[in-house]
Amino acid sequence: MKTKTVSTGSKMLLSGSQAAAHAVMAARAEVITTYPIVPQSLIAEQLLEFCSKGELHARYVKVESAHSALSTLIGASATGARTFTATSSQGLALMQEMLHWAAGDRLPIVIANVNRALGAPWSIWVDHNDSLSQRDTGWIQFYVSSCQEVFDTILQAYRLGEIVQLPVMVNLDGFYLSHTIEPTILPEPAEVDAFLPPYQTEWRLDPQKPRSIGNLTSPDYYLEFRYKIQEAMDAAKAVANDVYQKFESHFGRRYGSLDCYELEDAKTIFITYATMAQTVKHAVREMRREGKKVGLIRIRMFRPFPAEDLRQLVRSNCRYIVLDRNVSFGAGGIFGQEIRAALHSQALDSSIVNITLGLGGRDVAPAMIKEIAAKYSEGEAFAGDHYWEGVRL
Amino acid sequence: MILPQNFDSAQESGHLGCPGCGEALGLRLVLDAIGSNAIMVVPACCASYVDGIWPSSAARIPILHVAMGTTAAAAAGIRAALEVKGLNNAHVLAWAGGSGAFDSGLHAISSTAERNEDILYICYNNESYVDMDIHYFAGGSNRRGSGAHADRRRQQPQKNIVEIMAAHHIPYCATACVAYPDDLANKVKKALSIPGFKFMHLLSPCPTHWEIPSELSIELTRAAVQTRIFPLYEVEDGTKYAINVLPETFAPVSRFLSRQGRFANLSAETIRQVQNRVESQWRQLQRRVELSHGGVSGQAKAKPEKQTTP
Repeated sequence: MKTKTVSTGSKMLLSGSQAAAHAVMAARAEVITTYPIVPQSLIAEQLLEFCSKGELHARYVKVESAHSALSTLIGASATGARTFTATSSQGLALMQEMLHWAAGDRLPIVIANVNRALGAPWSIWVDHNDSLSQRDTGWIQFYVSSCQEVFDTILQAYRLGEIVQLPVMVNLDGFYLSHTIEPTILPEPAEVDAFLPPYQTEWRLDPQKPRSIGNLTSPDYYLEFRYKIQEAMDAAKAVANDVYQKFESHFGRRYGSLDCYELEDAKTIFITYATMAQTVKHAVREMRREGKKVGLIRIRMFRPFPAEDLRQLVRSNCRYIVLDRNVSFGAGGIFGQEIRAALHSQALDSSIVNITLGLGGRDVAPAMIKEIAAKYSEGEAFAGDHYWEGVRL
Repeated sequence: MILPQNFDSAQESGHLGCPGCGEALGLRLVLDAIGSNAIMVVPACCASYVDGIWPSSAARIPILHVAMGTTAAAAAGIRAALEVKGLNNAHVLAWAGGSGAFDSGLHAISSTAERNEDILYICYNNESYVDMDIHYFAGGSNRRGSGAHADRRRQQPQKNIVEIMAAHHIPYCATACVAYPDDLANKVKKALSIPGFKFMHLLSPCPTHWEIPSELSIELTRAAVQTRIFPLYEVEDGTKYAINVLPETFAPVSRFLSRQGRFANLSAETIRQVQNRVESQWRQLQRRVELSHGGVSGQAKAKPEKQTTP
């Protein structure tokens, strides 16, 4: 993210949770559902405050489960309302049935998922297995790394989702982002309105023009419904680029599906996502001062996976270290798998090292990144496999 | 009474219901009472295919098909969206089978009722788990088990969903059945006149599951009322009970049970136990009616059966 010019508006100290709530208010969400779960609850509380003060004119529905939080939004979005809920971890897992349903109904619902490890054993701290387990549900997924990016990405999510008719999940790290306070620029409401027009759709429940949504569908048609979701996902890559451009022209902040740092002459390039990318960026800056040729690719958009963008960035004389704060048991890191698949045609397999670390909120400090760079930058022995870092057994 | 043909019905011909299907008839009666300014939510149940397979629909109102346990939650979302858009005159009908209401949908119903969302939720209960190949469920009957189903037959009486809903102190809940269409229509209209969450438990005959000839479905549903196995009553605000159809004479439960193949396994002893349970539940219901009217019998409010029998 590069800040070019700052549009009018106010700069406030906000936590990631507050930034999310401010974005939902700026987007003029019409129906909001909430069910509390740590560390998501601050978003729900802030939105309740906005609604009760009359600053946000939305129906705020306090439901009895995360499953109903999304089910209620499915009803609301299918009736043409702009909708939002926030959840985390077990809540997202409980929603899973309805994640599929929302995508199948092609409803541009936006949810903020505050990443948190799944039980058992209980953990309230960050990793990304909650949302990455939902990669096949038909949701667009973003992973963000600053409070400003939380705010900006939620606005982009509505714009993108409503164009391609797919739901969007904006993921922010539990505590590391949800509870971290940073200066955040809040644009004027009129500026947001100019970027994000009200949600209008012909495909809604309307007694004047009755149509059924989600009927039983025979084998003669089901395949086509699914094909169209894939088509929309593919289209979302280009539409996202348009949305980033439009966003930059309105607000002066530039985004992409990928974010690059110090790639030009880098021999070792980290590929990672979410707040961990900020730590890596800091470590890369320090290593550069020490004369080490390291760089960073941060992946913002995970679904659809920006494979073409990534292919344009990679080259053969580099070592790539993919850091995954997640694991697909029996396979390896999930970003690692995606990146290997995306780069398959580049014959880089022996240059890619995939590391799982930081699960359940285990701290990933700059010193650890430097150690990883030193350990995995050289030698063939590490290539083409998956490793764990920081395990104490 | 012969039901007039209604060519303007919001439920069109061409649906996929079996002959004698209580769901298809019940929905037609309900939609005739509601009119066309309504949105319907249907979970996994008979209605999700009786209405028609994509791209067909027998309903002239929009339907949102949703997952099994989510009917009430989705209906609440529709109502919320209508409210923010200022479209409050449209009705929201949740139309769910027994399994989606009694079992997996109960938490969402409870929460939506607690918030008193402006929805009419009708559970049409064919006492089956038809969409799951007629399996066990809490709203089901003591079905004769056979083959693979033998170990799944119910041993317990059906839980009282109306009492569960009345305990939420919602403004209106009621029982109804397709054999008393006037009573059904009156209750739907009354429910729609009241803001908030309304719940109706509709006994809906299923010739396939009940193992009866289709031409008996109305007669046996009427017998469920006349035997008081399925009394027609309503509860306002969780406390004011009224029996709406009072049988002139109480038929023995065997009139309902003995002609259904699903009950062919019942012994004379079991039938006697069912009779005793029905008597006991009837006394409890009468007592609640009396309490609703300061100790005076509320049966005077009940309509004589002969005026409402079709």
